[in-house]
Amino acid sequence: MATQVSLSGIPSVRQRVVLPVCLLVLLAAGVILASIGASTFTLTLSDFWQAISGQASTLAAQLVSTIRLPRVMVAAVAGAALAMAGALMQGITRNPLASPALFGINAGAACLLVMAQSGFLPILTSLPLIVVTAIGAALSGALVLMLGGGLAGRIHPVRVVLAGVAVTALLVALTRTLLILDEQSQSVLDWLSGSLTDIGWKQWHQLWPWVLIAAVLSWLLAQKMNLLALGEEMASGLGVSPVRLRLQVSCLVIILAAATVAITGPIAFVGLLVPHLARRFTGADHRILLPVCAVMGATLMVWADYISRLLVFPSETPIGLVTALIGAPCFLWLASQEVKH
Amino acid sequence: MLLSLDQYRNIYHQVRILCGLLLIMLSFPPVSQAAERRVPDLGDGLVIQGQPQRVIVLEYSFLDAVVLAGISPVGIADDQKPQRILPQLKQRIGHYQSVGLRGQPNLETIASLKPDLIIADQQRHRTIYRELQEIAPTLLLLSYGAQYSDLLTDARVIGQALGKSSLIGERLLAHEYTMDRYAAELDSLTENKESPSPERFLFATASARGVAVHASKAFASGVIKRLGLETAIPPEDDNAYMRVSFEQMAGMNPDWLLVGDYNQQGDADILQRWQAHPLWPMLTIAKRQQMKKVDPKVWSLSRGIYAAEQIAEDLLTLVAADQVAD
Amino acid sequence: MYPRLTLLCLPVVLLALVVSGVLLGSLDLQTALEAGPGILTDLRLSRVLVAVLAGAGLGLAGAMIQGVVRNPLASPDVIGVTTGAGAAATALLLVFPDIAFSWMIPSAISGALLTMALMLWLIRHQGLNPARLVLTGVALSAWLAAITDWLLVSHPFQVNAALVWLTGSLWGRGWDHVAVLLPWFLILVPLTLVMALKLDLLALGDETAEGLGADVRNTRKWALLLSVALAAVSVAVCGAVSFVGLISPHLARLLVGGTHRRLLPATAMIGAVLVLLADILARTLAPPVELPAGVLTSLIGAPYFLFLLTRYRGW
Repeated sequence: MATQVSLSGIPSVRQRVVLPVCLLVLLAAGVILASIGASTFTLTLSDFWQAISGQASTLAAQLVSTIRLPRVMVAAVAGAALAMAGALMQGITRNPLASPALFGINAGAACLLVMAQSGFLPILTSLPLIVVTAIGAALSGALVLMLGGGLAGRIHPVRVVLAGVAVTALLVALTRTLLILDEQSQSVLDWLSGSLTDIGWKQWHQLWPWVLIAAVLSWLLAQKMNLLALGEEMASGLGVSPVRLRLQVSCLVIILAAATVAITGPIAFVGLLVPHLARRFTGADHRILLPVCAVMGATLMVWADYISRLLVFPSETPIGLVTALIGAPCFLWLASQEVKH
Repeated sequence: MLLSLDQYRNIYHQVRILCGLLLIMLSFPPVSQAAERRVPDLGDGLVIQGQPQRVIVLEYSFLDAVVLAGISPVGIADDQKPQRILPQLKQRIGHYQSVGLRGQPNLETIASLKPDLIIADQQRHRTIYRELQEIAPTLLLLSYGAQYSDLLTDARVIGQALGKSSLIGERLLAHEYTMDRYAAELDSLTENKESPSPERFLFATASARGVAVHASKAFASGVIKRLGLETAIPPEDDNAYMRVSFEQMAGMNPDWLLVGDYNQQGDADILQRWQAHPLWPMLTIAKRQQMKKVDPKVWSLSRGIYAAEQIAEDLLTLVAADQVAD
Repeated sequence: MYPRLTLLCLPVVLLALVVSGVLLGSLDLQTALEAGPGILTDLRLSRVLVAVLAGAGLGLAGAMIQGVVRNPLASPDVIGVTTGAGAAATALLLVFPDIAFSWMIPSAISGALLTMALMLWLIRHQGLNPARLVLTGVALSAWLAAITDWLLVSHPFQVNAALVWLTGSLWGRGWDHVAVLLPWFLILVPLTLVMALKLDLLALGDETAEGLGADVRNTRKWALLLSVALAAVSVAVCGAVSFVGLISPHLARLLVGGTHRRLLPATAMIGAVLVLLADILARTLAPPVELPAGVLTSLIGAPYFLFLLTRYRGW
């Protein structure tokens, strides 16, 4: 635990240069592959350049620019949002396992979304999706934190995860029942693990403003989070109110998670995995950590998108399943590494 | 198949004996050897005598044959949505009781209706086949994911089970004749066109979460092919249903897209999104305005003789209207 | 309080529930009787018995795991054993859709044992630290759940049947399932009760137990193996009925105290009562449609688990 939050490990020159270059190369490769790979059409690099430069003349290029690009970009932004949400949560709870999926936030958002769409709660149906998911995310997140020890003023790392698991079990049970009663068992799996099928520019425009705002705000709070990491007393001594900071960051987390779930459905493990990977390279300074997390999350999701299309080509596998297949073993590894008694 | 059949039978007997010893409550129904018929099915084979009158069907697709044999089923697994039954069939069915969801029919209700024949789907009801057999002789046939030809075989088998083989046989002959007639009419209509290649049809269902193309093994595709028309499904595909994104739809680029929209009010959200897509105008269905709404209960749910004829009728109407417009 | 009295009362409660399980259903009693005895005996009684057996199995498994690892939060579902059993059984069901039901049990048991082995390997350096064990279990189940989901997505055709089963449902369970389950239980349950005596020795602390002549390591190992097998057998027949293995030992401990000789029988009965109750509700709440019993146990069990969390002081 202590190693997680200390400000030790100022990145070396090699890390400062090599890491960003590697990351950006990986991201670019992922974007290109996901943009033109695994298609029933034959798409080429030149189609991709045409699409990027906004001069899509051929059908293939238009395909890339109208179908593939928004999808890849939504994947990237969703990945960035989830990774930042995870980093923020890990920062304020000082819990290496904090992430939107494990704390029940994704499940709450998804449950309310299904309630709204199946007409179970008519009031919800009239609200915009992001409001519905935000309510769900906030309610379940607050519940988990409360049960995780928040009521006693001391959130215990393992307890809060177990509370998250129990709340998730409850919410998933509810969601499944709703879908079974709706005779939609085929789409249950799509619902419970996020999917990027039929994402267009419209979804992109619904997603990026929220993520951008939350990202900028969280970066502005990064220095305060660094101070909080030094300990609550130290932070208050330096003029940072821990309670206010936690509240602000929680709101940002809820915005990030709710926006993502509303567009893609609940995608697990990105928020858990990426901050840990990132911290290995950057140390715990949130001003560096948050942007690196965003880029790494984006990279991971873009590659997961490519893999999700490749797995059972030409059908698509829900992307949330791919991230779960990759992420769950990492969670397993973290669980056996990070929690020291 | 043979092996598993033996296994099944073996276990079945063991179970019978065990239960009898343990709880002494199972009584074997008296079996007279006189007028027994053996009807082969996907389970153990059905042994039945006489003409069953109290029939329960657990899938919409079995309704046609039962109704054609002049029997009104006493119970139907209708998902508690009676409006999903074809009106042509419904008017010939008397009062029936819903036995719940197709995926999870209620065994108690089934038993309380005292059926003398249950018709079940191999995919959905395999797990309760034993229990159904305890209640009444059960015919296990293919429905979910069945092809058009399978379903015609189903009808013939149902005819045998009901002791109305000749009636169903005649009706199936009439069906072939009807379909031939529709095929000929469609042929003459499409012949007039100077289009270089034959038009390709595609049927898909749309619901809240996505579009599912009914691929080469689906019922609707079978009917389309039976009518001598082409489908737009890639040849390497051997599924029944395929979830597709806009990109895959663009890849198939059918000349006609027939959509069974499960959404009650207006277009399903996904169709609106597709129509707003910048590439939509490039699709043939958009250029020629040949994305048409059809009734999903005819094209997808019913999967029977009536449904096939209705699909043919729908297709003829659509293509004929198109001719007039040209 | 009065452990012996409670122990005597529990069978009465269970019996009362069994009777009401036979009398209540999606049809009212009169309709059911008019339709002939088949509904009560063939459909309801067999299903009630499956519920009793599965519930007892899950309860016993939970009590023994908690006894072995001395961790009030442990249970077959929390440490990932039921998910492992479910994953193996799902794989079998999807790859060989025509396979006889009796094969489900060995495959579920092997899946559960593999999971347990993996689990023990993962925590090999830490011993059985409670929080860590549970956390590793949660992570392991997340991974196995992802694998199960992937299996389901790649076999869209069998999904409908598998999904009904996976949510923990007793729909369509009958005498043939009782017949397959019963031999397993006849072997496993007496062994478990024998184990109860040894577990009581363990509760005195490892050194004291060894001083009294108990083989601590072997007892642990066998108790764990037995509980994994019991949980797997139950999962094979009714899917993941969540939280029963967790909460029934707790309720039992409240009622009859921590002595395993009393605790195990009481847990078995309470587990049976819970699953039976959930199944009765599942059948009668919205007839003719059935709800998954696993959902109902989650609705009761998850809040109870959360309650336990707030009470647990061993962090």
